[in-house]
Parts: sequence; structure tokens; C-alpha cells
Amino acid sequence: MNQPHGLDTEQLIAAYLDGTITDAQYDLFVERLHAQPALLERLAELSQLDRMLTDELSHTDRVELIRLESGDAIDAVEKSDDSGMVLSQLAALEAQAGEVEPIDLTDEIARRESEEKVRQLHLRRAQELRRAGLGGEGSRVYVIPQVVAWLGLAAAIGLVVWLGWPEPSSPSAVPRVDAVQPEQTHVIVARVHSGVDARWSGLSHPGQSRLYRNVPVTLDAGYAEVVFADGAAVIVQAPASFEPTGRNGMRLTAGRITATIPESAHGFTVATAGGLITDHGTEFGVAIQPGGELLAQTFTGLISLAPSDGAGGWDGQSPIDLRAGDAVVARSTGEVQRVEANETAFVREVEYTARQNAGDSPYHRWLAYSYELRRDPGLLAYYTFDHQDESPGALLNRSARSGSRMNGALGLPGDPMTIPRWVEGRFPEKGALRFGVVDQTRARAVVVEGFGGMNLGQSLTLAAWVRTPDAAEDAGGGTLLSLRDAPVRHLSFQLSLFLEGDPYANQIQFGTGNELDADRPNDSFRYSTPRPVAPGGWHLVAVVYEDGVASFYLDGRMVSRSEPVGPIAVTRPSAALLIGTDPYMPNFNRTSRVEAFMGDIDEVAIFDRPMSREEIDQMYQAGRPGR
Amino acid sequence: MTESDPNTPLSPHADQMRRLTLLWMKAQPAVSAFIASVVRDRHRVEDLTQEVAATVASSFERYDPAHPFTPWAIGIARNKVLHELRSMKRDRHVFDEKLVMGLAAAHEAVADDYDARREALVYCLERLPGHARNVLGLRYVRELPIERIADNLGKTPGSISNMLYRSRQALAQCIRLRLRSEGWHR
Repeated sequence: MNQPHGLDTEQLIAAYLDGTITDAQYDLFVERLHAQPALLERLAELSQLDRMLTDELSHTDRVELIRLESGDAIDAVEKSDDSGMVLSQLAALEAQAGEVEPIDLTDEIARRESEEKVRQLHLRRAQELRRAGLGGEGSRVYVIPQVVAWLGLAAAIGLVVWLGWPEPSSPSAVPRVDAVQPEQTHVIVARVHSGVDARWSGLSHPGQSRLYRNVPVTLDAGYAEVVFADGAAVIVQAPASFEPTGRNGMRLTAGRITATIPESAHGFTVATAGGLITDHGTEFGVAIQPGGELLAQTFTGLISLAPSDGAGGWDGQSPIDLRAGDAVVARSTGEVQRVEANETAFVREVEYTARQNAGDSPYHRWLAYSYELRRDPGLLAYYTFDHQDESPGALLNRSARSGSRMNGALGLPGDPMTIPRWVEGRFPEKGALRFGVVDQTRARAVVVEGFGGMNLGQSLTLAAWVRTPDAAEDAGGGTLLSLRDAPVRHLSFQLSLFLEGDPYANQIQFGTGNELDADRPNDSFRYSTPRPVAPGGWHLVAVVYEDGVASFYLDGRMVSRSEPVGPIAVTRPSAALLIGTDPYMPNFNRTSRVEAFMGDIDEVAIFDRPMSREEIDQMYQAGRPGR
Repeated sequence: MTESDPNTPLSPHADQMRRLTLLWMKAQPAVSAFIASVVRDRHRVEDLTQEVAATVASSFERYDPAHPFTPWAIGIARNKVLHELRSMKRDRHVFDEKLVMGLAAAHEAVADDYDARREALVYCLERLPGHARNVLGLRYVRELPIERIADNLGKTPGSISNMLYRSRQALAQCIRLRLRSEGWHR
């Protein structure tokens, strides 16, 4: 609505804030402020917006603004000058006001590097002008009252006492203390980019994403990804406490992180009581262990560790290089010990992404569960059947406990005809292997040499995701897993699923003991009660062996419990685990094909502990295809 | 330099300095915004903010932690501003004492959710067309007068003023919606 002086109240506020208000407009403005005290709050709100715009835009737009100011981009602005677009774009936002979208700051932060360089150039230029006594616009010389200087000094001392913390520039450099004035401490140097069930302490409100230099925060629960201004991306695992020490560094006092460092952020530092880590272009993990010592591990690239000098600082003179696969434990006493790297000690990007998307995608739901499973101390071996281009011919073991020692080989040794074929698995994103007979004496198989050396106890859980064939003529099922000393027929374990066309149709079979034991001639194999298994679908087959009894599970539900079965026999350490067949077949030249599994397998897990009903159900719910 | 153990108790003085620094970090934008809403000279605003910081530090012992810090700091700023305005009586555009008091109270009211509002501003700025953002930048970062901006962009001062006005209105509305969607009542 037009007013006598051509401006409505909102426009008067704008003119006042812009400094373009005329005398007559000012008088009207003051009159209205007196008459309508609510306008004061509106003026306060817009003044605050002014202040925020100054702070926010100064971080983001310098490069473009300098271009504009020099006139380079006038045409582009002129052609696009349509302030109506502002409203239309924001109107669209208003329409979806109920939806809270996460703020993707990746591009913004990527811009920062060049902007910061320009900023530094400008600061230097301004300093030169001041020194020359030529203060112009944007380079004003400030005369700081003595009392303010005192405050700055006091605040700096206070901060140093509080933080006790210099911002390191390199492992060999002497730690440096920045004199910090109060307004300079309020510097945003990192952002919380995303979170998974994250619960924070130290943030002023739940939606805060900004992290300030030298202001500690704690992640009490869940996971979060923090992106630093120079581009370093850090996944934080709760419980963890840390503080950004600058746009390219942090101090970790508790918990664990995984850092991925792009080229723009080489030199990223992580300071801990046990040492100072400096990145040289890599992905690495850092953890403060329960005893307070530092665990550092490099996944790719190279980092260096300046160990503690034992007196609260770091020994920059003798940094320790950590390359891909290296791991060390460092103590505040300066002692450093190399340890075996543990792939599952840290949540890396793939796992974090899986956890983020677990609610939306069955594959990510399974993947998030799969990463959790890998850390189970009772997990003897775990094959996820990911087709690895970089390691053809291998089936990788994902168990943190046994690692690559228990990797499998595709096919029987020296017999390429027995290599199973890769097919699509339960989810399009993962693979499976197709097993079956080659001829009357050979079957396709995966061989894990030396599995007999795993020192099995008398508790066991075996689980496998299998797809039964569509066509009836291919049915019959067969052996999924088998560990036995073929020549003497000591049987540690065998797991089979039989389908239509087999005498044991729709039954799960578990075997253990010694088939030649004259005293216990019928104690080696037990069968579940029959349970129809639909052809063509994916099923989770599992057996839990405990106290001499086998419990059979199909698709997360217990089918039946067996009569007592023989004890797990001890095999030679060199005995191989076979997936998809049984040594009984090739070694004894059997013509029956029931020993070879006819179908696809895309996950196998072997535990040396009994899993509970709930755990088996969880495995099924997390791994089943579909929502 | 030794690294401090976060579990080691700080000395009373260090602890007080730590509290002061943290509190001032949060309050300073609101204090500065209040001063800027009364004092139109940007450089003078910065000087006054520094003076308020000094007074806050020297008076910190008198601060009652049972009450919010930011209103206390704005109260100190209000006295500074009133003193400043008395020396500016000859200026045409100077608020009287009653308005300054009312404006200080209004700033106290909007200061509560400053961090949330700034978060929301980031979100809203992302959605602002680039040219509007650039004009805001020329105004707030380069601190160019509207006439200079208009001259640089080949526009009339009126069109630039209008664009700034509409951009700020839209941003303020967007911030309100954003806060509401995050559960803030404002």
C-alpha cells in the first residue's frame, strides 16, 4: 500500500537501514515507531538480518563480487535483473515449507579455497595501504582504545589457558599460539554435513551445522560427517569429543574419526595427546582408545605422526610415516608401537553412506548390517560375495577376526571348469555365485584352504543366503558348506539344503562327527522337519549347533531342533572349507549330484558361537530382498 | 607449550575467562546488530562494539549467571549507545532515548535464536538467484553505497533499492518458515 511519502512502513525500515531515507521519511518513520512498538521488533529483526548477511556473504561471495565490482560481469547481471525471480524462487520454497532439506555445502566449501586466497590478498593489500597511510574504502585504520587492547589480550590469555592448545602448522613446527580477540574466535571453520542418529552436546540448537574454531563439541550418539572449510571430510563415531582448530585441522580428545582428504586439504592435522597426525593426501582413521592412547591407521596414501614428547608437546623431529595398511598405537609418554591394521575399526565412507540410506534402500539396509556383523568377535569367516574386479578369482573374507587369511579361491585347484559363475545377487548392487555340477565327478566350488586351523569349539552357527533354481529339473539342492578331512572323513561340519526331487526334499541337513565311528554309526547327520521351500527365491538357511543339538532355521524362523548329534570333529589344520560342494564327491568319485549345490549363494557367515533366535531373525530382516 | 588435559580443573580466573569468551562469542552478533540499528556509521558501530566488549569484560564479575547473558550485554550496549547519541545531537537522524530503550528490548527478544536464524539464512541464501545474491554482496561485503552499485550495474538506484528490499523481505520470510519447520516458534 502506498503511503504519503511514497513508502510503506517496511520500505521505510529498508530505507533507514540502507541509509537512503529522506528527512521527511525519517520523521514519518520515527512517528510510526513511537505509535507502533511492534515495529521495533521488526526493525530489530531486519537489523539482525543485515548483520547476518554481512557475516555470511563475506564468507562466500568475494570472488564474484570483485568481478562484479570491476564491471566484468555487468552484462550478465543486467540481463538477469529480475527481482521478481527472488520472490518466485522463495515462494516455491514457502510452498514446501514443511520439508526440511539438508543443506548441501559441498560446493560452497569447495569454493572457499580460492575465495580465501583472494581474501588474503586483500588483507595484505589493506595492510600495505595502512602502513602507507592511505586508508581508503575497505581499508580503514582503526584506533583501538587501550581498554579494548586489554580485553583482547585478556581474552587471548583466557583462551590459551582454557584451550592450552596451539594450532599446529606442521609436525616439525614449534606449536604456535594465535592471539585471539573475542570477535575473532567466532570463526566458522567446519560444518556438520550430515548425521546418522546423531545426538550432539555443545551445539546451540539441534539444527546447528556450523562448527567454530576452538569450540569443543561432543557427539553423544550416532555418526556424523563434518566437512572442514578446506575440504577435509571427517566421519565421527560416537561417543566422540573434538574441536576444530582451524579450517584444516582438529583436536580429538575422545572417540574415533575417519578422515578423507582431498588435494585442497593436504596437510590436514589431527592433534591428540598421543601425537600429532598430519595428512599428506590420504584416507586415515584416528581413535582415542579406552586407555587414552592414540590408534592411527592409514587406509590409502600417507600420513605422518609426530609422537608425544612426553611433556605435553610433540616431537616434530622424528615423525613416523604411516602408509596404506599401516597402524600404530601411540601413548602420551611418547611410546609408539606398530600394530596390525583392522579394517573394521573405523566407519569409512561406504559404511557411513550405507547407514545413511539404510531406511530407504534394502541394499543399504543389508550393507549397514553387514558392516556391523564384521565386527562380531564370534565371526570366524564372512563372505559377502562382492565381485571384486581387483582380485579376480577370489572370494574375500570380511571377518575382522580372520581377515584375508581366510579368503576363498574360486574353483578347485588346477581345475578352471569348477569355477562358479558370477551372477546378480539379492540386490542389483551385489553379486552371487552360481554353483552346480560340471560333470559326474566334479562340481563348482569355492575353496578356503587352511580353515581347519581355525580351532573350532563345540558351538557353531552357520548361515547362508541361497537362491533355489526356478526349473524343477535343476532342483535337488545340495551341500552349501562343508569342512572335513576327506581321507579319514572327520567331519567338522556340513550344511545342506535339499529340495524337491531329493529323498530329503525341503529339509535342512547338518552334519558333524566321524562318519566311520563304529560306536556312533548314525550320529553324524541330522535333518530338520520338512518345510516347503519355494523355487526361484532367496532364502536364509541357518543352523545353530550348541550342546550337541542342532537348531534349524529357514528365513529367520526356527524350523525344528534335532536329536543329539556327534561332536564337532577336529580336522587337520590344512583342511579346506568348501562352499557349494563337499569333498566327498570329488574324492570318492561319487556320481550322485546331491553333494553339489544347484543354485546361487550370495552370503555365508560362520560363527564359533551360538546365535540367538533374535539374532537370526535380525539377519533375515536386514538381508532379505525388498522392503 | 603444553597441552591441557580437558579433565584438569581450570584456575578460577581461567575458568571465568573461558565462560566470558564463550558467552561473548554468542552475544556479540546480537550486540553488534543492536548498535547498528541505531548508529548508522558502520565503522563507528565496530568501535562501539569493541567498547562494549571491554566494558563487558571489566564488569563480568557483576554479571549474574542466573540470567541470560545476551540481554545483559545488550543493556551495556544500550548505555553506550545512549551516551553516543548524546554526542550526536546535531545529527538529523538520531533516535530518542525512548526508542533506543525499546529497540534494545526488541533486540533482546530476537537474539535468543540467533544461531538458528543464521543457519536458516544459509539455507535461504542457497535458494536466492545468483544476481540477487551478488547485489546483496556488493551492499554488505563490499559495502558499496546503493548509488555505486547502481552505477556499476547500469541500473537506477531505485531499482537496486527495490531489489535489496525485496530480497531481504523474501529472506526474512524464508527464515521464519525455516525456523518454524525446525520447531522454532518464531
